[in-house]
Amino acid sequence: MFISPTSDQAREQPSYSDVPGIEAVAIQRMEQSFTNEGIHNLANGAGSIEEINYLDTTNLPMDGSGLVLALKHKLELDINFISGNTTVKRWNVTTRTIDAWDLPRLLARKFLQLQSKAANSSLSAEEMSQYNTILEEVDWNQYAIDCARPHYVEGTVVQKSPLRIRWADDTSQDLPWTMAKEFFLLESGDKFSAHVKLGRDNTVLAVRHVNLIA
Amino acid sequence: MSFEITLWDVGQGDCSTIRLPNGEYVIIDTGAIGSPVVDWIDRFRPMIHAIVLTHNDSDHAGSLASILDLCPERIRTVYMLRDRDSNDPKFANLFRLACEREKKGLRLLRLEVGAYIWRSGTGDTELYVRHPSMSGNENASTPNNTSGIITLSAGGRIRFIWAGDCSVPRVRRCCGAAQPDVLIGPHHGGPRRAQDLSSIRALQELSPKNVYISVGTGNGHGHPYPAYIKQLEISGCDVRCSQLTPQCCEKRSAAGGAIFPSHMLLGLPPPRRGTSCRGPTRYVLDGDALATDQLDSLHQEKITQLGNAMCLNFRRLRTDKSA
Repeated sequence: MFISPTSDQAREQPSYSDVPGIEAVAIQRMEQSFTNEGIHNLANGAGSIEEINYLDTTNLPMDGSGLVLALKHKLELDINFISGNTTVKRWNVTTRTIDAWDLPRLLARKFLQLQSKAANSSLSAEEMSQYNTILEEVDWNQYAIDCARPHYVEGTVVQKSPLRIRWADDTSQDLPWTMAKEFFLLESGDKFSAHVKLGRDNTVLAVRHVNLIA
Repeated sequence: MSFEITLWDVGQGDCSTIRLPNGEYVIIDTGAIGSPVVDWIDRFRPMIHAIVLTHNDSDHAGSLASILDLCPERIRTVYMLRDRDSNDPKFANLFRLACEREKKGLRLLRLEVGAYIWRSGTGDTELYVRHPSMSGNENASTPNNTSGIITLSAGGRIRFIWAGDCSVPRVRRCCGAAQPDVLIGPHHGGPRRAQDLSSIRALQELSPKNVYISVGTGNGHGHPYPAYIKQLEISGCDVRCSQLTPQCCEKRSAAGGAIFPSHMLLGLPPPRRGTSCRGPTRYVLDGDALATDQLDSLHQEKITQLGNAMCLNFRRLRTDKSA
């Protein structure tokens, strides 16, 4: 039986597409999700009306961006054997059951459409209600962080080993050794600017373009 | 002539954007480092008429560097003031950055009473600076004492007040008995001497209809002050806090995320810190009519479930009093 990623695993999804190799991992994980038994069984009509069917993935690929939208839980499917259609409950997305393999893409598309309308303040009341329902089922906070590009920040190197930085707002932070190479040319006390990918609670996920400020 | 005013949830800090009738934006404060407004600017690349820093504390001005780096060619003017010694790194770093951009065409102006940040052709709608004066700025004992006060007036009266980190009596002195539709803050719901008689009297005279408190879940200052919320709610003013604090619900505020996804529903990026309560709030001012976003009822529903939300508890007192 196919084991879909847990929510913890989903949270471990790549959040920084610039890091070499991380996209490949994402693609591999998504391929695992698509070639699962659940979807194939659905496509072959192996389910029955009485049993609850789930979409066997908790990651939706966002086309072209190299990002995934993590679901908080598996989505429930409503399979109608008479009409040959499958509907994802609460998402209001329907496709022919033989095309169910394409559901993750359709769901991601639906999410992006609503997100785009929200950004343009053009959601109707019905769409807003639908969007609110969908947002309850996705990790939108992580997705927003994944989408965000690095910010320009300035700071001072407090010490080099272990690497400790004091940012311009006077907060200090220890950075992991994996980021130390970016600060190779700097000494303690040097002021620098950098582009920093920030995660939850302003955790530094990646640093690049480190420059000495004269 | 329509304005879209968005009061952002940036955690502990302030940030507002105002879309002017010509589609350009004014940004009042930027929030701290990692502010979601940077992500929004990065995505939509708006034309920015002006960035106004009420003062240079990092929770108000921390993301200025990121914004200036993102799209310097799309920013016309930056208003700032000197609120501390010129060698203080908090001021010196910001000022250096702004001066570097000034050489490339940015207008760098002093935030001072009498400045019009924006004014309509007919002069009946304006974004106006009411504080500080030059002497007030130079003689201020602390950065908060010289914090800028900016108002949006339309139809001959003040509709919005951005009070930065000022005290309530100072807002009253600068704005008169304005009865604004929305007062932002001041000072993240923890204005200085909030329980003093002078402060209570000033608040009664100011008499705002709505107060938006931009407060961070994990702030270490006890913001917002319960006494301040109580004064506001009992006097008939509706209070909305951007983030939930342990004073309202300890368990939920520790959980992170949001009690409902107002950011996403408004198409805005969420903050990286804290647990959002009302999150961002959006108003549309069209002529005399002020409309809010449609999320208040959803927010009410969610905070009722919390059980001990400060604003609701004090609102009940108001209802009981009127009954």
